[in-house]
Amino acid sequence: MDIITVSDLDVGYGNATILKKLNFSIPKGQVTVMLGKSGCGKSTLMKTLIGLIPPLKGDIFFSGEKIDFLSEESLHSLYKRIGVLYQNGALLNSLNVYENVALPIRMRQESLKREKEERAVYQRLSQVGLGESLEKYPSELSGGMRKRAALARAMILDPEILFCDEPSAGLDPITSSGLDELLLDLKQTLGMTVVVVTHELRSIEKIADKVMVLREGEMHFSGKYEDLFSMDDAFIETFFLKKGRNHD
Amino acid sequence: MKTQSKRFEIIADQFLLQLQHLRTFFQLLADELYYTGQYLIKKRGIYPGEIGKQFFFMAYKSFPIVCLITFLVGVTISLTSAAQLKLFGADIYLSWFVGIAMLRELVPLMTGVILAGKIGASVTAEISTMKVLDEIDALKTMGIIPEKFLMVPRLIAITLAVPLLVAIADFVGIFGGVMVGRYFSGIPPESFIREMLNIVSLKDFFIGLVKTMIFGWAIIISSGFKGFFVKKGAEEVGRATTESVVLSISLIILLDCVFAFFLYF
Repeated sequence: MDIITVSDLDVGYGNATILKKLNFSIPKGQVTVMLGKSGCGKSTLMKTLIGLIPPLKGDIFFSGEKIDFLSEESLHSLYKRIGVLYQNGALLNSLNVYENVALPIRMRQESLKREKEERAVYQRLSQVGLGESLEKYPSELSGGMRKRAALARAMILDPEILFCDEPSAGLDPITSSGLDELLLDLKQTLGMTVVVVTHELRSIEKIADKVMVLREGEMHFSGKYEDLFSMDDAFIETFFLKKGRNHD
Repeated sequence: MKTQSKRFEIIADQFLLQLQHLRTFFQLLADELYYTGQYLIKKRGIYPGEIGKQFFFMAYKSFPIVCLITFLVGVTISLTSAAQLKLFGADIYLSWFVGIAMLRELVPLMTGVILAGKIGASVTAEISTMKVLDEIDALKTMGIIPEKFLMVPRLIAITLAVPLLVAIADFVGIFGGVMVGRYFSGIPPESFIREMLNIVSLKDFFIGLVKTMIFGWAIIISSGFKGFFVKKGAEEVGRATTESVVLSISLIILLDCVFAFFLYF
């Protein structure tokens, strides 16, 4: 079953079209990885899927419901169902870790009792291994800790789908691997759908159920990770070969 | 011919861009008025305790510099006027001049300029940095309206901070005039105050207060406008901050001129 279906999607800024005629779907309860060269439109696609950039043409359906980018109500209903982990965490610097994670609760479920809020925040922070860093401010955290705190914030309202923009960027391999484990754990224990934009081959190998390869604004490949290497495609071979060499 | 048409095209593009900016500015202003009204009725949409935090920053942290500058302006304007009034043997009228000038013009103007440099710059720097670091996008995808979440507490805080700052600045500025009157024109402080109260009324204080409040709102809206429309990159943060201070000060002077027309003609 698919949670997101995209048909004939064109995305761009002004007169420039960055993504052309995209048709794809994101399966529920699986990890879908979006990859491609820098500048191919991965982040733009993710921003469109999370309602930040309205498409020039085409439709996006979330659980069968069409997203109306001109309707605040439709966008708010989308925001209630998604969680987003940004590349640099995007934690608010004026709030500590606890307050950052509690922010969606405080702003969207104001009637929730303090004890329930505390329980939810502690649970999420323990899940990402930050149970001891509640009082710390983002500036006092390492890159990996910041991303884990941001992950806890993205998950606090139990979203149906979690979007991650380059979660491994700027992290050492061990921390990056730990973050991958966390994403896998979310999929396995909570059945969460995860969409990841990444360049990291190790991450892709480890977490991907489905892979979408973008090339110059078009969908070059969309399918199971296992099928990626069985096809005879020069671009994919070169892309993975070069990436593989860079890893070694 | 071709070069001329190209030049015309560039000028037309620039004109349209400026019009677009103006439209965006007024759109933001209208949004902020709506969100502030909405918050005052529903008490929702901003972070708990944020108004107090902003009030502390705007009132308490700006208080020393506002006092120092208005005192110095009070002293300077009194020294300049005292020298001229002495030529006509009209020293005592120094108090009239200082009273009216400080309450109606100099305190609102100087407080506005100080707030533009201190508060306006910091609001733009904060919002534009948040924009560059995806924090604004993060707020949106959490279902929070950034223009409400970030701007409404600041608008309410400046509305609460301005009366305090104006009252203190009026007192300190006039005190500067009293000092000059006492030591340079030989006017005893009690005579200075008595004479000043003959011409200055509570209305003058409120005119200054309303003006400063409107300057304060102009500062917050200009700073937000420059902060929210930064695209990407740290260098844009610096540029936006400078532009916001220039825009705020220009707006303050423009608004002051408009006030002068309404008040004196």
